Amino acid sequence: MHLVFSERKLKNLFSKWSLEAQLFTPDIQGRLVMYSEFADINLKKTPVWGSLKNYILPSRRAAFEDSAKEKSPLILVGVRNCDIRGALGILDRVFAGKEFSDPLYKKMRKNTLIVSVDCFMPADTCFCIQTGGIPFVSAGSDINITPLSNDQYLLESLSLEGKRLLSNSNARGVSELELRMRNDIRDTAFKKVQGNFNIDISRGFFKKTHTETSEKKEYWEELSANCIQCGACNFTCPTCYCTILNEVSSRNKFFKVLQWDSCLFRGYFSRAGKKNLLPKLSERFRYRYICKLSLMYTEFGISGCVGCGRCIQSCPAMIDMREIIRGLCEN
Amino acid sequence: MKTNSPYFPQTAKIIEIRPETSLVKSFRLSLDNEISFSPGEFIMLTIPGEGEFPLTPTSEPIKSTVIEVAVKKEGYATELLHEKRIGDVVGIRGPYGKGYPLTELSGRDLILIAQDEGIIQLHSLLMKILSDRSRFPRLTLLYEFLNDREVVYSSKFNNWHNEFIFYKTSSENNSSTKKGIDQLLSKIDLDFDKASAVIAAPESMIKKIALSLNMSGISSEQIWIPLVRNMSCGIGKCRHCITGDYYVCKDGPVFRLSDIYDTLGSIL
Ligand SMILES: Cc1cc2nc3c(=O)[nH]c(=O)nc-3n(C[C@H](O)[C@H](O)[C@H](O)COP(=O)(O)OP(=O)(O)OC[C@H]3O[C@@H](n4cnc5c(N)ncnc54)[C@H](O)[C@@H]3O)c2cc1C
Ligand code: FES
Repeated sequence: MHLVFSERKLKNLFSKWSLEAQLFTPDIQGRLVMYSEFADINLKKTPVWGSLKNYILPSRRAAFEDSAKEKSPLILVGVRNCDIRGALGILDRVFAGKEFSDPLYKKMRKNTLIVSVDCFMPADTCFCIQTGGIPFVSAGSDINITPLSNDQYLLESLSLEGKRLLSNSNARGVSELELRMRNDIRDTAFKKVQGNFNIDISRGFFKKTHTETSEKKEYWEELSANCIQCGACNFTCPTCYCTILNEVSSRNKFFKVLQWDSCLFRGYFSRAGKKNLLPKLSERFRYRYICKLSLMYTEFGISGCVGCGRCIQSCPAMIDMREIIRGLCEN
Repeated sequence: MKTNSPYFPQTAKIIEIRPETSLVKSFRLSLDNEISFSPGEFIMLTIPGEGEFPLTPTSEPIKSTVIEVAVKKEGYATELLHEKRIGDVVGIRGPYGKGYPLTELSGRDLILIAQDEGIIQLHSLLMKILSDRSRFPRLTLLYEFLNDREVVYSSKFNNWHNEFIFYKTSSENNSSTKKGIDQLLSKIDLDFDKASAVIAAPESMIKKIALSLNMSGISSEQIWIPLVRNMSCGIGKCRHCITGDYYVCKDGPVFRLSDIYDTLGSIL
């Protein structure tokens, strides 16, 4: 189902949704676009902080349920295709797959309706295409929005739930011309993103041709010299899902908390007996790239980097994943 | 509380504690629900409110509500377990992972090599072999320890001597450990072509011991290693145990040496 909304009608639609669910939409806060409770329509700027991961795999959560409390559903508006690829291709497979699936993840996932948005104004740091993605959504969300102009939004339902959310919405149907406009908008975004980076990492990296450089100790020492081990790249990444299971049981009740962890933290590779398998920052820094660009591809068949560029924008040391990949190719 | 969460432990009550050495104690645990494990698989033990860590059960691998573990004081959580008394309650989840390949090992000449606490990783396999001699008729155990006065399971030595070929050596006076194992290997008389080995030793020693085995004619495809790595979830969700292309928690902890040779002592 395709429907075209004016901005005013879209606001009404969002207001209606906010009565039946918690509604988060992108909100411009200074230089950044952040999800916050719905106030206004800001769908064009990419990327939105934090990623979908924050909502389906929060930074800190109970590992198992304390009570059977039902949470009200969540509608997240503004999710980009990079986050959807990460969730479908990696997070869902880890936490909702066959082996030891996680009932709380599945519940949060089911509870979160995704309203995706085509990338209208991709950032200079976006490079999804080279990771195997595209800057617009054709599947994986409940509704997709294409901003056609300042006042016109094309909404397409992509699931039954999405169809339900759009029913009785008193919007008009789409014209042939508008569908063509959507294609043009998508083409423009595609070209813009393509210009941001030109090395294909969609089938993993660190193949034989790169291993020599990738093993050079001094090279990684140089690259990691500015890293302050804050973990921002891991935490803002839509596919980094490393967690640590913290034990917080009381005397008569087991309780555990899952918390995000970062492979850049010194303790990550520590092991009993005061040993640490990767005590040096440069080794852990290298590990992060190998994990994202090679291990995850081998395991999941999609690149662990989906090209959202958040790690580039969030790094206080201005480390740019693309430059590191470029450097490895040149050396 | 009812939950189908894979992170949820069941209650385990300590019903017996036996000191093995000054650093190692065996604990017998009584569980709410029966579990069955295969030798080499591991469980996660929770000290309520304090920590959780992986352990290889040491009891006979049969379906039971009672299991045993032997734990070396290594740091924070293992030390707290050592302070526990009979009647205290801990948590258990598992068993997890892949243990020793019993089908593949059956009928072969087995050489188990343990250094110090490594013997703990082999104990339930030994129990399995002893309970099923028709499948595992030929067994040699080489056991090396660094300190004569700190030997795990020394009370079992008589029994072991009666049941299979058993050599022990103390490397206290031996500058190189490899020499100890080498000497033992030269003593034993078996068909190395038909032999499989298990090495339970610190990672830094594994390659050296394996080299001796290789020179005797046992290839790295026929050598199995119970690997000890950092773990958090135990079930393939947290990535802490990743080693090369493997998860130690779900592809291991028991690995074919040839699969992990390059990553011994490191991650990649
Ligand atoms: C498959 C497997 C089977 C095992 N079987 C046995 C067995 O049968 N018997 C036995 O005695 N031992 C066994 N071990 C080893 C045992 O699990 C460890 O000795 C135990 O985890 C030590 O815990 P600890 O808290 O006492 O040690 P500590 O050194 O205090 O802490 C170890 C834990 O804390 C984490 N840690 C330490 N420092 C940091 C830091 N700075 N930041 C973040 N995290 C940190 C480590 O990653 C580790 O998870 C086994 C290990 C594995 C992997
Ligand atoms: S211990 Fe968590 S993935 Fe292996």
